[in-house]
Amino acid sequence: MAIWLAKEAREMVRLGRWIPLVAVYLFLGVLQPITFKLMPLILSSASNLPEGTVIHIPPPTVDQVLYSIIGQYNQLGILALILVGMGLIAGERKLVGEWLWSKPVNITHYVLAKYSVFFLVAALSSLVGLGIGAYYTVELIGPVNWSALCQGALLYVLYQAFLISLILLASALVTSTTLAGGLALISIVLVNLLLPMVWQGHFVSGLLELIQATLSQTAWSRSTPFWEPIVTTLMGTALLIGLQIPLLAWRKTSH
Amino acid sequence: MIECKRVSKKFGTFKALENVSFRIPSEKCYGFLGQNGAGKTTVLRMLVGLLRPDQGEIFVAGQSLLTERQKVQKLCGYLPQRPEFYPWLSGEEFLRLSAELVGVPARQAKKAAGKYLDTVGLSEFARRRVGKYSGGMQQRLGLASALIGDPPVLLLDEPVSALDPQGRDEVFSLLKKLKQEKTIFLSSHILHDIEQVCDGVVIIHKGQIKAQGTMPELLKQSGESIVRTQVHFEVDSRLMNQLQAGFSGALQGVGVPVSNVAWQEQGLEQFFYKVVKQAEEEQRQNSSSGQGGAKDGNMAR
Repeated sequence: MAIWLAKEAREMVRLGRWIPLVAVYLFLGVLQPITFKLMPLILSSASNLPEGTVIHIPPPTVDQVLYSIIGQYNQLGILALILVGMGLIAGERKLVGEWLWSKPVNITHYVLAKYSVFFLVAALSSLVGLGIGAYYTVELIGPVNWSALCQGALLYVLYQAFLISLILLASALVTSTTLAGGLALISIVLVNLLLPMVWQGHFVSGLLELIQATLSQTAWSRSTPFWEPIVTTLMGTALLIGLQIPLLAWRKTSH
Repeated sequence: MIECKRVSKKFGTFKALENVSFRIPSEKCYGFLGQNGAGKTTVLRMLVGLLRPDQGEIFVAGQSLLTERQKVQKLCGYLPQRPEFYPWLSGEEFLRLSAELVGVPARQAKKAAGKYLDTVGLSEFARRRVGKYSGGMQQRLGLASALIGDPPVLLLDEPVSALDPQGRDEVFSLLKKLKQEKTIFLSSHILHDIEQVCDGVVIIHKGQIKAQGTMPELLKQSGESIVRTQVHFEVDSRLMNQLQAGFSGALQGVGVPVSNVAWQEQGLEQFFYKVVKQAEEEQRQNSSSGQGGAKDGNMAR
């Protein structure tokens, strides 16, 4: 396992894969509080309104700003995750598959190392981004409840863990990096759009609601217990990681 | 040591292998000879567990590949035909990874990497990124990766195809040493390469084994004192005359005898160009090493 972790860490650094993750998450963290603060100014200078028009924008609340960071993470952040993750397995299989699979590779170690390093970099980036976002929120908007923020951030990291397992599964399914990216994007869109329609308050859609409730310090309003989305997302993540192992073992001989 | 029993493989409707059976004894070096597309790479990929046969059985060192693939993979060092490795790792880092994958303890992996880099003549490039290695250097690195962990079986798919003449000689010398203690099965479509190092040969044509045995056995079967390969070409008469004139002239110019050439194939201008270039190169090599004129290029054999 250690050799795979070392190899994955080297790959992450030497190919600069960490850069889009850190850049996007930090940028989004900084951008949201500044955008909210400057929104009235932006609107008045950018929109071509008749003279004398008065726009009344209620001042943003702290939880609105913080949740908007999560909202941005869920769009540009996901694209950055897909960009980095789509080639992690697919690209490697295409490049060195013949050499790699001729060795007695422990596929469980291989998958776990890939997952761990990718998750670690993504989670750290999003946490640092949220931290910086919270700092600017304190400076520009108002005081932050750090305890609620930490809980919300940890829940978001759990959501990220699920997304990463989905992206890596897509990457394990095909050898084309582009196709893997497309598959991952479609899967995530389906999870984010369709799941809330059919299964509101449960699993991943429940987790996103829980993050919002945590950040806004409101009570969990669903009839299901608050831990249900957490447990089911954890189980879903474990299942998606677990699926990669037999899939790659089977792919080893049909490379 | 390596045994294939009635192995067949189809890719869609294309029969890549049909009832392939052969046996390679322990601590011998056997060549796997056949044209491009004959099925050599398919067999080698099966032997190392990269492809599953549709039918038949494969045994390596007494272990069935179908049921004990991981064990078999530990016993085999494999050099792919087109070796491609992580371009962002250095040669040494790559070999350490290779070593640990085959079970060399982490503490000894660095030492093993250094030893095998030295064996294949890449010591001075140990810290250079693999992406900056030439094709020949990558092939040497692939050979080192196959050797690391000291596996008893080596499966080498055209191990010298990207090497210059000096590199080929070095690799063949290394293989001659290694065959004292390892079972080596190497593929090539060049008979001369096989003759240099192998004790025996398995000949495959269009997915079927045509002959197998030691060199003396095969020579005895053919009733000749040399192994002869014929090249058949077919071209229209006008082009044939042009090619024959140019080809013979060019080869005579560099002192290579042309014999037993039947013309039965179309569109071979590129091929002739390569042959002439190769003959010229061999002539140049031989002149520079003081061995006189090239007497038997691969084409004339």
